[in-house]
Amino acid sequence: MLEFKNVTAGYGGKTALRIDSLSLPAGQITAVIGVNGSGKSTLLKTAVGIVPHRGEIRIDDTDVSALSCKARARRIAYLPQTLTAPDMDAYTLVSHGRYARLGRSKTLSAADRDSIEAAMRLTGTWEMRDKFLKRLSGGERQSVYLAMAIAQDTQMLLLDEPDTYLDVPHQLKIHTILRQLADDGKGIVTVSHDIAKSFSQSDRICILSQGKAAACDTPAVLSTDDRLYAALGVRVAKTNGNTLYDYALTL
Amino acid sequence: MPATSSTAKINKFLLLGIAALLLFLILSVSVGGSGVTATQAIKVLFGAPDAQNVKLIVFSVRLPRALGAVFCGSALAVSGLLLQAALDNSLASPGIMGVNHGAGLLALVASAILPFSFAGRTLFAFVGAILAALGVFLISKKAGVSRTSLILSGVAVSGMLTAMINLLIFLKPALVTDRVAFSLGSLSSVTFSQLVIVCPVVIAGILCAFLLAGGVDLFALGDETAQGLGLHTARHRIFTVLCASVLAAAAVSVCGLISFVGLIVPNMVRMVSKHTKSALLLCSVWGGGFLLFCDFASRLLVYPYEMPVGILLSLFGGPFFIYMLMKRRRRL
Repeated sequence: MLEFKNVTAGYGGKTALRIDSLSLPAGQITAVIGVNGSGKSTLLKTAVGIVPHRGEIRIDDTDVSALSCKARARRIAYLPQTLTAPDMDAYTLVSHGRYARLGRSKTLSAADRDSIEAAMRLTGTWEMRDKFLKRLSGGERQSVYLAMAIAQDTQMLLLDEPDTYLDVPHQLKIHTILRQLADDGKGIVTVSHDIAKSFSQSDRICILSQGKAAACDTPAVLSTDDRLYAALGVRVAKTNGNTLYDYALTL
Repeated sequence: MPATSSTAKINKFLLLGIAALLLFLILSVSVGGSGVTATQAIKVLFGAPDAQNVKLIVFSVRLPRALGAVFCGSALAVSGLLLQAALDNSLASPGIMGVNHGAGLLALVASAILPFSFAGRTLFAFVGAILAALGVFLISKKAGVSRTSLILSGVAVSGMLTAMINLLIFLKPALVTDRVAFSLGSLSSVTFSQLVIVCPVVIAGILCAFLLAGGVDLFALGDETAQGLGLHTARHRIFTVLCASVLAAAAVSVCGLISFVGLIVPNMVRMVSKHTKSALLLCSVWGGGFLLFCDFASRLLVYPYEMPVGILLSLFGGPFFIYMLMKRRRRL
């Protein structure tokens, strides 16, 4: 579990995040939603030390500030919103997921190779392991990056808009993988702009508003009260079951 | 981890590089304008008794020069590879980024203050290289860290440092025995006493580069992704640039402002290997071999005279830089 207590964080002296208390549990998919500039990405970046913070961020009772970069990366994986297409093949990229776990020799052990293969098979990218990233489609590349994060073998995975630019089949494929990871006990935190999809595919929803955690609850509860409307000016309602998602936006 | 096919390719290029290096090492020691023949030189090299003057020419002139080319070429190529990776810019090199000029300027200052101390000159060169690298980095950061701003900052800093070097030489011409040789780079006056100081630094620098290689690979993914993977990007980048600066400074203190080795060799090597560790290995071998070849060619082209190797390198390097620019433009 990742917990935030009295956390403030920001850029260049400007506070972008002010969280009194927030828990992101293991074994569930938590979607962080909010308007642009509400602090969604900052929340994830703060957890992995990209944005400096004050206050307490704990993972399983360990203060992340007390962890080295590598120790933190062994517990929390993070994928930013913008991913590059470096000049390397898919296997090499996924192997970088083991960076924080490499021994002194800095070479991949048999266990590392097993983790890489398992992550690539889970994401369906094993067959494209020798292909260069520049030759892959956006969806394939996103899946390879996801495999890299999975290969980190962490308790928590923080994913900033993991499927925003993907077509629907790829979005569904990524959701299936995330659900499987959550069922295996990993904590998945996604940042998304798609409210209906977030309500339909997540176990918990955290609404951020002006850097604060406005609400954090199950989709069922949040769909029936006014907290979503207060933060985003929209409501969601359960669909009749004949649609792709269980929830739809209403005004 | 490289796939098997690319590992085989890397091994092939490595063996080819070692063979070329040894060939040019023997050729470099065998050929010169002093009248000592190739047969005499090779015999002396392998311990045969020969006239004192032959030994003197081979061991005091040709061999230090050839070894100087090997070590300086390796240092510059590895330095270029590190800078390109740390700054995620294939146009970066110690020559273009002002690192060589920073080293050169302070090496000249050291020559003025401590005229007979090569160690002092080398130390000052290190400081100059590091200051120039930090200067470029800070300016580009202020101007917004983009690939273009980084290169432009490097060009601006190089320009300023070149002006200062020229001013210093203008005011104190005795600081350099051959102005062209210093400004363009030459291996004609390398001595064993210089190599004794510089070679351990180059070897240590290359070893450090290997230690940094794992993290250097992650720079290509972008800072945020790299940090998510457990890399302290700011610290690792500083160490990488420091390592690159020390290597470039070591080379500059021996052979002057040699340019383009740190641009051409890493870019050629990256066509074969995408992994920093194997690319470092190839750069170490091919960098030395390339500078050795260029030095040998610059001696042959105007035989029995010789021209500074920097002239030939600039003739090669200028078009290569333009080619790289065009290649990038096509990609955009």
